Amino acid sequence: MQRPTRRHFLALGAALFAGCAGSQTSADDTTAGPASASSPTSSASSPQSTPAGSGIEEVIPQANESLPLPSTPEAIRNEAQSGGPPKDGIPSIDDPQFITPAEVDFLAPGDPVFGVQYNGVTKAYPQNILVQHEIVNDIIGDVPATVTYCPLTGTAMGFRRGSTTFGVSGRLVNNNLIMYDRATETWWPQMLATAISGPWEENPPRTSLSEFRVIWTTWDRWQQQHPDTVVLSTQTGHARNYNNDPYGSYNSREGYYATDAAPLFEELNSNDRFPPKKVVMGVRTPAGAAAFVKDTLRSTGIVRGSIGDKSIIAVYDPRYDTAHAYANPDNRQFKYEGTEIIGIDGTAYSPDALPLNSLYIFDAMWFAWAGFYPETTVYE
Amino acid sequence: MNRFNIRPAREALTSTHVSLKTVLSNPRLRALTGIVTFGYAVVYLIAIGHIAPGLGGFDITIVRNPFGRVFAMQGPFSFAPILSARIGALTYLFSLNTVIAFGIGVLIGLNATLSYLGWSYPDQCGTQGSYVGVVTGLPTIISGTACCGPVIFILLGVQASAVFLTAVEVLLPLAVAILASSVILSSSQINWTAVDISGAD
Repeated sequence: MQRPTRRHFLALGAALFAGCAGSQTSADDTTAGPASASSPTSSASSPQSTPAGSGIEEVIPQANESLPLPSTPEAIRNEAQSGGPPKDGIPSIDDPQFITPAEVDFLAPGDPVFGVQYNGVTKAYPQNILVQHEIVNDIIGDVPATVTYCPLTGTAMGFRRGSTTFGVSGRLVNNNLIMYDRATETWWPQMLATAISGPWEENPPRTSLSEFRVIWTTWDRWQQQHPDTVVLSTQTGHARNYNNDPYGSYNSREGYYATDAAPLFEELNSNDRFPPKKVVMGVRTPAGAAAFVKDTLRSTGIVRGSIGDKSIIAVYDPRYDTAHAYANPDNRQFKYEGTEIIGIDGTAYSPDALPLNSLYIFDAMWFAWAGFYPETTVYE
Repeated sequence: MNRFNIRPAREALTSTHVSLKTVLSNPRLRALTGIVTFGYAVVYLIAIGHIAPGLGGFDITIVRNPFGRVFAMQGPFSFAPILSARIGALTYLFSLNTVIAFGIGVLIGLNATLSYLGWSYPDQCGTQGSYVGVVTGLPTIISGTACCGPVIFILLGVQASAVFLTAVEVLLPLAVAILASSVILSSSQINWTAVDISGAD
């Protein structure tokens, strides 16, 4: 951002009376860099566009297997609805700046942050910034990556973005953010992480994004575990009030985020087994979906389950107040002691380092999970 | 051949112009209009989150390329802020919504002043009903989409739907039309030969 000068105000006044309303924010408009006193470091390059018509696979790294969808991509498209803002009306952050924990003066200890440890880099993305942008197009290490957050479904997820960037389409399905990639303009519902047909790309291939873990935790927990972390700066290139969450508060939980509060829009599939905003941690694989009630994970430490005929295990990690999930095809036995997981041979493991294949897991509001995955198994 | 007769409309506008000129020449009525205008604008900006408790400190920042972004929309009649001012505990965001806020505020201020006249001179003004115009302005407060969607539905505790969304989109232009009509109708009914507003000084 720049400091205003008299010339700025004069020119602004002229522009206000010049007419021509209705323009949209373009990707180029969001590349403002700050001249910040805190000297944040820039991480992402300017958004790069690939000519329209390029194949998705050539632009965006894909998952090895496509994830499950609740119905056909065309049917999901038909359920999409306007969330109010137009395309890019909620502007993504395309030139993120980062600061050190010592420079952070806008987070309380209990405020939620989305932590990423990826490609040897540790970063925290505060919820109070992402609630107003939903998408950060970043470079983590040397990997172009996108950190996303949908406030209406309470989901924070990371995706590799390849040579393009993602934006907010302005559409929702099951209350969930529908992202679009700026190369092919394909629609990607965040939780499904899978291409669906949309008005700007009618027939995308059935393919899913390559995901990386985003840990929903609190600022004090993350800072304690990663004192060397960098933190997304409020110098986003946009004029916003990052103390003003239009939906409510997580610290303490109020407004839209309250456990009993209703979803904003109608869900795809209604399920009143739990209050709508009760937090579950969900795992989906090409074989299906499973949800672990977060309170249960906190109280029991280890929860065993299955997706289809394949065993899985979820373990609680008190350092972050989160859980990790693993495929457990041989039904290996573990027990929970303190903050460690003990194998049957007495070996101690950190909750995030079991000798099993890790599965992608993320927090979600119950109504959103049940809406997308009505056949989900639930462990409570 | 019937031709559309615009003479009554022209006379009403002329009468409105004269009435408003007369009303605003009075310092006390002008002050009343200004106070209501400012008050409404502040309430509108608070309602859409452009005046709200902030992160603290004192700082003014402006986005890069503000003229290219001043018309960027983040919802129906909701424009992206291009300037933020941290003023102690409060943060103010400037966007075209500030212009809209004061525009509607002027209409409501005029309605309020005409209502005051109607209350003071009921026989001469016939404007007793113009308070309706003031009330009409209130729904415009909820037409803002503060940042990320029709958050008003959260406050009202109702589930959003396409019908409600459309209703929100038309609230502001509808209210502006009603407010402007109310000003024209109210002011054109004043019989200035029977009203002496000098006592309002």
